[in-house]
Amino acid sequence: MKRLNKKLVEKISSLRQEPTWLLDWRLDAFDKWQKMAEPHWAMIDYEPIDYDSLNYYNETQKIDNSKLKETYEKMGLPESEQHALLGMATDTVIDSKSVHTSYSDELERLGIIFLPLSEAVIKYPDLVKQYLGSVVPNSDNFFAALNAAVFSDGTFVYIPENVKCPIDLASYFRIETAKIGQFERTLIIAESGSSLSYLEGCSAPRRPNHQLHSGVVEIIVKENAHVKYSTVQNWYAGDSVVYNDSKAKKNGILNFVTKRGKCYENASLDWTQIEIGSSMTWKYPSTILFGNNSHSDFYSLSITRGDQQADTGTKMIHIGDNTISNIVSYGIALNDSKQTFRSLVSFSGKNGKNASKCDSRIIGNTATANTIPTIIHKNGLNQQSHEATTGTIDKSTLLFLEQSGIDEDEAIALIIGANAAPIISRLPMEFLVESKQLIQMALKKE
Amino acid sequence: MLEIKNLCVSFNGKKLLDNINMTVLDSARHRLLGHNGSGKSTLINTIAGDSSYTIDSGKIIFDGVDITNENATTRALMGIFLGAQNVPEIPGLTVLSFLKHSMIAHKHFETGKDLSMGEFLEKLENAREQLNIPQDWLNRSVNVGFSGGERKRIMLLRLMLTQPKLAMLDEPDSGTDKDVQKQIIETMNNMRNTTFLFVSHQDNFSNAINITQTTALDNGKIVIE
Repeated sequence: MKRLNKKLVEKISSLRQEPTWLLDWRLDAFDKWQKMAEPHWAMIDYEPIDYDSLNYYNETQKIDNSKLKETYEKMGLPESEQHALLGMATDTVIDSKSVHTSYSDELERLGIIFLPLSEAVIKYPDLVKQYLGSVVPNSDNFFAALNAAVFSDGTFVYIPENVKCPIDLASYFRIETAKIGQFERTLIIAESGSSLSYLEGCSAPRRPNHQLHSGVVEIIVKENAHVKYSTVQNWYAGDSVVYNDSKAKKNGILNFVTKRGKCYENASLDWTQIEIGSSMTWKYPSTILFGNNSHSDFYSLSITRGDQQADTGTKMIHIGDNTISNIVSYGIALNDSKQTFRSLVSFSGKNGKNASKCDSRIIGNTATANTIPTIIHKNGLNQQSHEATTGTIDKSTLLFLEQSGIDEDEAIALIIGANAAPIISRLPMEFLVESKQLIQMALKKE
Repeated sequence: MLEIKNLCVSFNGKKLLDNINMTVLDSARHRLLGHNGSGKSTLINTIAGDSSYTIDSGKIIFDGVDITNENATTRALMGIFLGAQNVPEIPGLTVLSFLKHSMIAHKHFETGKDLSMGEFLEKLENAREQLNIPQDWLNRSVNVGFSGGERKRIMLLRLMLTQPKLAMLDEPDSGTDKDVQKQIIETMNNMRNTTFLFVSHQDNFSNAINITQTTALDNGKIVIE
């Protein structure tokens, strides 16, 4: 389904049998998107995206329980990743549709709603209507507006008051079809006193052209609730990232994502990001610390190699009083890759605290790493510290490992794995092994 | 075992070793002597493949093979072990993981086969018990929070696990108490198949090892053979 126009938006909405209010919301977003200019402030370069050439909707068949493992195998997922996903309550989204959501019935007994967003719109229209776009409005930015207009599916989670979700929930996003754009949307509502650990994983096979991924994640964390949101991003990075290959960017995922949470009083939201894949990443998971005493942590590990480009970071918007946020970012840029860490910390309440620490390692002579922090104190009643370091791998440590018989690539992977341990260890247990393997692979030269 | 031929080494343009000619015999206990700054550490670090030193001329022959242009990893896998004076701390990398990776590399180089976890753990447990190393050290980060003596004991553990052909120990006795010194001496005396080239300023320590050769350096040159 191509040609991005009003008819296409109406068609997507019609295929999903959506209520009128949602179609109106989409059309409003599309109208706003048409008046927006694609942003180019980030330190990334890519060929202009032809929005009319993308495939916006690919109806994938539902998969029942017995076929899920077979499907994961066919997609070439490593055994450990299959095992992790099968052991968790997982919403599997392939291209434009959620094809399987596990443990929904078991969770429903606790009042937890864990459904594809398309189903939630039908079954719980009031809840979806109340919260959709409440944290990321349909005009938030160019890519979020595009998502609002054409999003096809995604995941909906509702944790009732005082319910602690007993298992980790997960979304697994897969872009399977060539030239498709994936526009999924995740909406998470954690009611007062509830808690949730959520993991998002993503991958895509090799395709000859760029594929666009433009996702939106909205998280509402009510009073005294706690949400932990972890991401292992392993989108296809493109052929051009092969070590020593040409610099031409022919394929791989162009990853434009808007993720934002809103914390009410005493609520907390933890972000853990492991960014390994994509040809290009544009992503700044953010928290609005709206309620007094709210808290948010952002832990990010980003590895780029070949000529991958990543402009990532976070925003911590301190509005309430006595709010606390911590930012810990560790980036490793190899080969010809380009990394930018960008943060915004702003304070408008009182007694807020933020500690930011970003460390980047540049390996090789042509990789680049940039750090762009922005700190806004609106009233001078808050505390902020920012610590940034950039360097390469410590030579004496590398030599010590080499003199123990470990080759250079392996030694670098060990050193980086060790440095990143405080970030990796925050992932849900099910994905620890998988993530460590992914990181080891990402650090090895082709 | 090891032949150094006309070796000249510099660092940032400054000459540190001047025309070194030295032979270390098989199964030797070869002591290197010399004042601080005489070139002892430079010599063994160069033999171990520290590329921050520039070899201006000369050759290093190990087991009949010219290794002058080999990197540190290859030299280690061929059987050259370095117990350096100063070792880096690696927060987040456990001693267990470090030893496992080192052992995997050695096994693969020597046999072309993978090291099974069972084989690794058996060897590790044997060596650990012989050296009376507490189990919990294995789960601590490499060299982080270990005293000088404890670091030397971890060095001995590495030595016993890898069973190198040539072990070069740079002041293994420094910063150690009598018990650790005794362990080092016992290990050196028990590893009959390993050749030792070591630096020590203490005669008591050196006398406890049946020294077969001594080379003294001064100002980057050999003065006594």
